[in-house]
Amino acid sequence: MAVETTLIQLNSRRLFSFLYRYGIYVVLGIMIIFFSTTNPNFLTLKNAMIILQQAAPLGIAAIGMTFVLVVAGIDISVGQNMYLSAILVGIAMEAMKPSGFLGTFWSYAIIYSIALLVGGAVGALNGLVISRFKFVPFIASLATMGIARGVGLISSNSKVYYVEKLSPISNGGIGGIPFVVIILIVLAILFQYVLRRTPFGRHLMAIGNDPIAAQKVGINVAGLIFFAYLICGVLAGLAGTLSAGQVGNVAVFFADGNEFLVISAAVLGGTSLFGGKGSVLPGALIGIILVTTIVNGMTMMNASPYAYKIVRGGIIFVAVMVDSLNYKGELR
Amino acid sequence: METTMTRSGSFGWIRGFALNNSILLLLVVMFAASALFVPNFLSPFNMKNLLLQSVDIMIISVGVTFVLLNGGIDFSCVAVLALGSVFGAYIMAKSPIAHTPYAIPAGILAMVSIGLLVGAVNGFSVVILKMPSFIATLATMMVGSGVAVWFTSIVSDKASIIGIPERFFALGGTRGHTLVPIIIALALVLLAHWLLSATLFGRRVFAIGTNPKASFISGMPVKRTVFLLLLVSGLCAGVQSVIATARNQAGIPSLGDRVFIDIVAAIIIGGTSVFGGSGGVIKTVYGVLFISLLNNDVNMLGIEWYVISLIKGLLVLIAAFIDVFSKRVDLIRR
Amino acid sequence: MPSDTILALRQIAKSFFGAEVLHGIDLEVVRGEVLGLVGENGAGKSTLMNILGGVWLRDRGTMELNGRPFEPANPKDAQAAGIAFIHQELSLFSNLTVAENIFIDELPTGPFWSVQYASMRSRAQEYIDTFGVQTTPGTKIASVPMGVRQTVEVTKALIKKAQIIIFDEPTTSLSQKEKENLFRIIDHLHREGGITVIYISHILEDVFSLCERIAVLRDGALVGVEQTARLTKPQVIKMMVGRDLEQIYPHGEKKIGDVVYQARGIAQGKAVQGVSMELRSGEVVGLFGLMGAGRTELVRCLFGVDKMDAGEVIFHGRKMKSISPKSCIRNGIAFVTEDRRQEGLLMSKPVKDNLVTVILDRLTQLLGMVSRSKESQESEKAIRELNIKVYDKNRQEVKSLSGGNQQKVVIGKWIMRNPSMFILDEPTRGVDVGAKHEIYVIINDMARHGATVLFVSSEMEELMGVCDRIMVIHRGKIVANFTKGEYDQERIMGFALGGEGS
Repeated sequence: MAVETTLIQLNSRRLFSFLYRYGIYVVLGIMIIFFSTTNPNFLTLKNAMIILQQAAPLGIAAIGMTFVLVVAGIDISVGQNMYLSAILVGIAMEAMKPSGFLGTFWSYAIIYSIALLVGGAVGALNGLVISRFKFVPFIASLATMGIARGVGLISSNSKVYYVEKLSPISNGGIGGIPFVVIILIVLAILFQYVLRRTPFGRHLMAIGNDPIAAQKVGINVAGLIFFAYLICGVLAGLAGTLSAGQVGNVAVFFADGNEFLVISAAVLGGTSLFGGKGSVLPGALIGIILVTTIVNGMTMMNASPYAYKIVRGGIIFVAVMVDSLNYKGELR
Repeated sequence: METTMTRSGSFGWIRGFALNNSILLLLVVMFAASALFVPNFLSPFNMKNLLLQSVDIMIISVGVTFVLLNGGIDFSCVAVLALGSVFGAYIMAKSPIAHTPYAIPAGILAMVSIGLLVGAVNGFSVVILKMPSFIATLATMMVGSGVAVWFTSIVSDKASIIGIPERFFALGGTRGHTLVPIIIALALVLLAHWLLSATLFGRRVFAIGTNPKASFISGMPVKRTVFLLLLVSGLCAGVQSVIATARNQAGIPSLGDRVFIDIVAAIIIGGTSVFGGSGGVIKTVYGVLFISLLNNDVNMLGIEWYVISLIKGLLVLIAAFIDVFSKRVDLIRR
Repeated sequence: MPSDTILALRQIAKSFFGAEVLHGIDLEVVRGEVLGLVGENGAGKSTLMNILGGVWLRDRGTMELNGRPFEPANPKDAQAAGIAFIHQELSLFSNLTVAENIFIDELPTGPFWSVQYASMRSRAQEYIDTFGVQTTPGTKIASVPMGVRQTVEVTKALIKKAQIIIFDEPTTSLSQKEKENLFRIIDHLHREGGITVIYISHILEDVFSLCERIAVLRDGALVGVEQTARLTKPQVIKMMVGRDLEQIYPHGEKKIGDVVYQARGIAQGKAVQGVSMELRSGEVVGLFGLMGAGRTELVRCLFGVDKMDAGEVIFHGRKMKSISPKSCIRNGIAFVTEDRRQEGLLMSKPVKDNLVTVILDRLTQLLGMVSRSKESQESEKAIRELNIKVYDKNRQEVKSLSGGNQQKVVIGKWIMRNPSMFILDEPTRGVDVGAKHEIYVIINDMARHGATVLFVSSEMEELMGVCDRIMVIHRGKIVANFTKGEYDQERIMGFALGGEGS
């Protein structure tokens, strides 16, 4: 029973597959054009740098989220993870202030190590509970989110911590390029490499595609899933600290809701919620740039602050809708 | 309705009861402990507070339970709270028909309708667009709360919408009308329980949540049922927003920002499985009472409120662990 | 042991749930030969191979590989020893490339853990060239057709230095060309590579053309192993089915009425290729076919569980406009699926809940409330009439019942609806002898009350015992129709195997 495809059908199929792969660039292009018409200052090099600088911390977190999504998982504790890391960093900085230790190279080394360790601890908790005890990822990360927040609030007594001393790295740059952007690009290249060109990355993709077959061919499914969450946690911790330096302080609502920005960025970048498909570079990067561009553009046109959430919601909806169109599983 | 025999043997009955109703036991123990250790716990003032606090999340939690019974989740419930609240408040306080006899009924109608609308959008996304419920409702939540805040900014110069006719506040239990919200919540809980345990719809919900494929082959309308579940959840959130607005005496766009984890914790700790197919309204009621008790204790004991986040997170973890543990499939014998 | 025996199985026996499925198998496999393994469904072929492949542990008996004791505790052990088992479900990842799949558990790495794509590609290309695999190393499996995927799986086995490769029904989803390619590969394997091949298949022509020797299993015992040259197809068929009809089937007076169910031109993909049938009231019609013949696909289409590409159904004189489980149920058709655990039962729910699943709307009264008393009554009735062994229908979860009782629950839930037509797909699978008999009685009763029964099974004996008529399906088409009195095991099997009479 041969099926004849008419010219129109062939062309529309080609159009769809083009849109599917490159749609995000098209959208980014449209957004840039749109925003530059509303404000002449939008399309400047300076603004581009601002966008990149704003995007960088969350972009780093999006890289980690990509790994989790590739194994068909999710981590909604990322926001509170950022908060916890930033708060503990802030507390450490407070402790260092009196002795004048703060500001030395070693103090920074310790601070950033704390950020990575704390993030890693949260990620490890997620990984353990999900890979070893087989929890449903979003419930597990929901619980971790609460725990992280709780620990953060207790440690800080809900006080605000001032972290301007982080500014040199978070806000500084070299040759006009912000440090955070450099860090982002380096990490993006590194992790894209890991995903695409190492056995670890290839095995993650296999797990996301068919965990049972992966088990059969001898892949350490539980172990690798743990690692994916660990990576996500560590990068979130780093992102939290860098972001805190940009804001200047860590208040109780710091990083609130960031997890959804991070997930949107990853999904927009072509990583599927259902696993087996992911991209750090250009994927997650473009995703976070798009999201940040929209936010930046809206600020430039003095959009009412409420529009942000609406637009972000719309973005994530469309991104996942496109992702879901291929999904043939049950309705849950 | 939901008791199943999970153990055999002479004491299996007791163990089965304990497992199925452990939350009730926990609740009783917690209550007793509170009575003993928390000063002024049993005072009428505190009891009243406790009840009203449970009502604050009771209806909405019951609604979200429906969605969880199918293995899904509804993030947008809290956005409905906010959205309903501001729209309703607007109608009753600032719209052309404000302060007319129509204002309050219209406001209530609007709030409930918003719940239905959001529920319908969610239903459409999940059933027709085949999006996973947690993303679909997430998106709706973001859009919804954004709209709520934006709307407030254009109709009011403050962070909330005030000026609602006082008669409306009765629904929130002010000044001698304490029982009103409690009765409303009770009525709704009973209605929801009846729906799940006694009607055809309820049976379908449990069957589909347990095994959608088998239910489909048995002729059940799977798509329609899943859609209705999301609708019910939205509706309950809408009703809750009526009570919440009355309690707060204003339309507040940030309503619900902090309660989502309470809702989910209540449902899961209450015993409804995140995998779908088991659980129920009564269990959620116990869960809500438990969470409210927890909140109340923390308040009364003067513990800083943020300790609670940690505790709730841990409790959810434990409850989810028990959920997974009890669902372990027997190893296939070699 | 002669030095050219690579594998010796002695007295291998295995039981499941107390029933012995393999009774002391003795088999010697010659090094480098292509050995065919044939038998009906349930004869024990898969069980035996699974034991060899380390998936299951044998209860009794010994195995020797290359003269040394061979006791794989898991599939990895077997693989390490050189046994490769190509199952029907391939372990390939559609989002990775051919080369990546081939080397998935030993991706070659270089500096900084980087996968050496270039060398992997060229190694993969070597294999591709050697075996004429119709693809390139860089193609994603998702874009690779089924037949080629299989050869990729074979290539994986070869990398593991397999000494024995077992193929389990490899050609069910292959085109003619793909099949020829596979045979060429097998030929190359055993000629050039000296690899021993065990080939399991229903397609006797293939077995005859590929294999040097053929081993026939029947009811868990090895009936014979012989050189292919000394065997004819009819002989093999006789060895596969030749048995005395032991079971006693219910008899009873019944009348067969007019045609009530007509299906015309049912087609779906490659599995169902234009099937038509006419069924009468009071008739029990069997549908016999081997694995891959398209039986289950056909009946799933008839009930609307899967969508059919073409075809129409006329029931009681009226054409069914939309075919879905709901519309079929409304018209009075019932469907007992092949897999009761996944699709027939709500395993974690009590017996009562399962029994009333299909009649819930009938038990509903005022305000949408389900009548508890009626629910209890009806389910009690079903339990009594079907003799379902359960001690608390309200609380006992159906997963704690025996296979036979579980199946009775499934049948019971449909009977409650009083349908005029039943489609039963392997209703006695995984059911003990006693319950099997009870189910035959139930089927007979259904027919005596005027219902139409379409009984799909791969067990010829039960069809012969219960049915008024047996249709044979092969490769998606009905190739034969036998009425009671004409039943002949070998002829039926002949049609099922090869589409032509023996």
